[in-house]
Amino acid sequence: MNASQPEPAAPMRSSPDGLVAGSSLWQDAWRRLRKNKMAVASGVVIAVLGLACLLGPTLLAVAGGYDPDAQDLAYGPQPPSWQHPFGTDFYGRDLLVRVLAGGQVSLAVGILAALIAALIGTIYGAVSSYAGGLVDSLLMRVVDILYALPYMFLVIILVTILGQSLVLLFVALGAVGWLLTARVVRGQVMSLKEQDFVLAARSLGTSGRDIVFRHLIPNTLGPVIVTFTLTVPSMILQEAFLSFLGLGVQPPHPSLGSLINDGANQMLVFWWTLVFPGGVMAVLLFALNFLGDGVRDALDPRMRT
Amino acid sequence: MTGYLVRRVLELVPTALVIIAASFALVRLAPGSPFSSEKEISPEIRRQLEAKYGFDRPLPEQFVRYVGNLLQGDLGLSTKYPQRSVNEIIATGFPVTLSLAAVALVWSLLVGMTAGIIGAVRQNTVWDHSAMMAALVGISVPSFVLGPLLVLLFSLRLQMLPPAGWGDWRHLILPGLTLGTIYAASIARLTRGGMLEVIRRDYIRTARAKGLAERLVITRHMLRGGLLPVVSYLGPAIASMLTGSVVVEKIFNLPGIGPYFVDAAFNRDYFLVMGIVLLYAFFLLLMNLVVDLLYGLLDPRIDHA
Repeated sequence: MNASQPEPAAPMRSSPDGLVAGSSLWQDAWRRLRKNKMAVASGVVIAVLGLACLLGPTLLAVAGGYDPDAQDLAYGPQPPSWQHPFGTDFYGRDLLVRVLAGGQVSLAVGILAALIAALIGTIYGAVSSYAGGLVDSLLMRVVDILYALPYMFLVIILVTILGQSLVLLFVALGAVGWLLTARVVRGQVMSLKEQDFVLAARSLGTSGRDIVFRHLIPNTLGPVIVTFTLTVPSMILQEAFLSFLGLGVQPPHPSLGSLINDGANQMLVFWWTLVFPGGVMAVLLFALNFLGDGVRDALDPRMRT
Repeated sequence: MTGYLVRRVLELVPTALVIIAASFALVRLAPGSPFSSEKEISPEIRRQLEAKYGFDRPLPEQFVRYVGNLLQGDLGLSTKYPQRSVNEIIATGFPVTLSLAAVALVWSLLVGMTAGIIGAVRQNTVWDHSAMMAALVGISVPSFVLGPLLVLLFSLRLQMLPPAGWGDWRHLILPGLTLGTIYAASIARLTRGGMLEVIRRDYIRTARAKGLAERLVITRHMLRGGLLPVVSYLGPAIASMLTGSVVVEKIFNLPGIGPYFVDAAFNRDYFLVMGIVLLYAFFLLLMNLVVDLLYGLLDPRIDHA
């Protein structure tokens, strides 16, 4: 990956509150992003879906008494209707509420796991690169080795060790998912640390910690954000993957992955149980990937594929 | 080249050792034991069981013994399936997983590269846009949504292919498509990007100027540039195909290695978990080595000497 460097002027004007000095870069990126109609549309879709997932279950519970987990076996599976736009599942639960509640889990896990991955990866990559020499080789060797381990299997082991709680789920995903960010940040810092503003900071007696956290990391934010936006959909996918295998969110609580698993088992008779959760999942991932591409193009036109 | 190969293989030794140690630690330091499951067993039987598998010895001794057995190709006994060795389980399951991944790989390369070439050669036309749109959709539809939909269409409606189970090659087609599509989408994007990088280079113009047929310019010269990013993506892709097959094997009820792994992780089947993780890690290391070698063949400027 050929990550770009910030515009030469930005680091020179970098002050302890780093972000403000580099604002022209961010304004440019924002302008480019707004011009990308598909990315804007994706952003709107994500915002609408996010709001629906965040507020929907509560609103529907208060307004219509819909409960995502309460079963009504006598009612059973019903096809979509005005009362239940997505139909109901095998246990008579409204599928719309369950999909929204599942989407809540997916979004929360996706964003938090990606945040953890970005945090670990950024600090790891920056420290490794700034330290250089033997420390750098050792730390990067660790990344290489972790790269050689089958990622999903590690997550499965971690989940079975840690137990199946939601918090541990995104910790496990984040703990294994930071490798790419670490490599990207390391590459960035490699070129940044040779620049004059770092020398200036060092000659003023700034400590190594402050150089890393105040001068180097703020300047890697662009590529970190790009990696982050593209990590979110992949984390959501992995949560669904685990829930599909029965290792993620546990019943009766819904997750998009477990809803799709249920739907796949009954798709012949109750097609809506697969189509709606699957459709929402696909739309969500599609919009996130599109927005991620848009952010990448906006922040770094040279990374465009 | 030979020297490079020898060096790379020698470098694998410490990496492999660290991987063995790390996975051993992860698996063994986890709480729980293979014998702590459903029914209570008397202390004597438990002691005998532990002695049978050598779990009564101190951990470092067990580790040394494990590595010793490993060097002789012995992966130990399964605690869940007491009659079977890990070698046997892998020997029955891995060929299935491997052929599934092979079908997926062929499919993803075929479709992905075709779409990528069309996208690059007809850049910014309707062809290009629809190919790239299709790729983005392909990236966004998870295998556990795509799989059931394919079954619905090809097995149940059209009755062309078996819906699940294991028998002849026809049982591999739908799972292969399910597993491969997401990679086809990535390969399409990478091929297009790589070809666009070189499409305006001087040597392409030279090739055209000397009167080479357009078809040859594309296949001999442009495609070579397009292949580099694809080749470097193949290592991680094959690895994630192998692990991603866990879900596909579950959807299509294939007797691969995936279901064993999930069970084994749950039951703390130490040697089976270790055996599968190491098998995959070994495969990954091998793939990365092959990719690096291929890289040198494709781009003579990369000197391995």
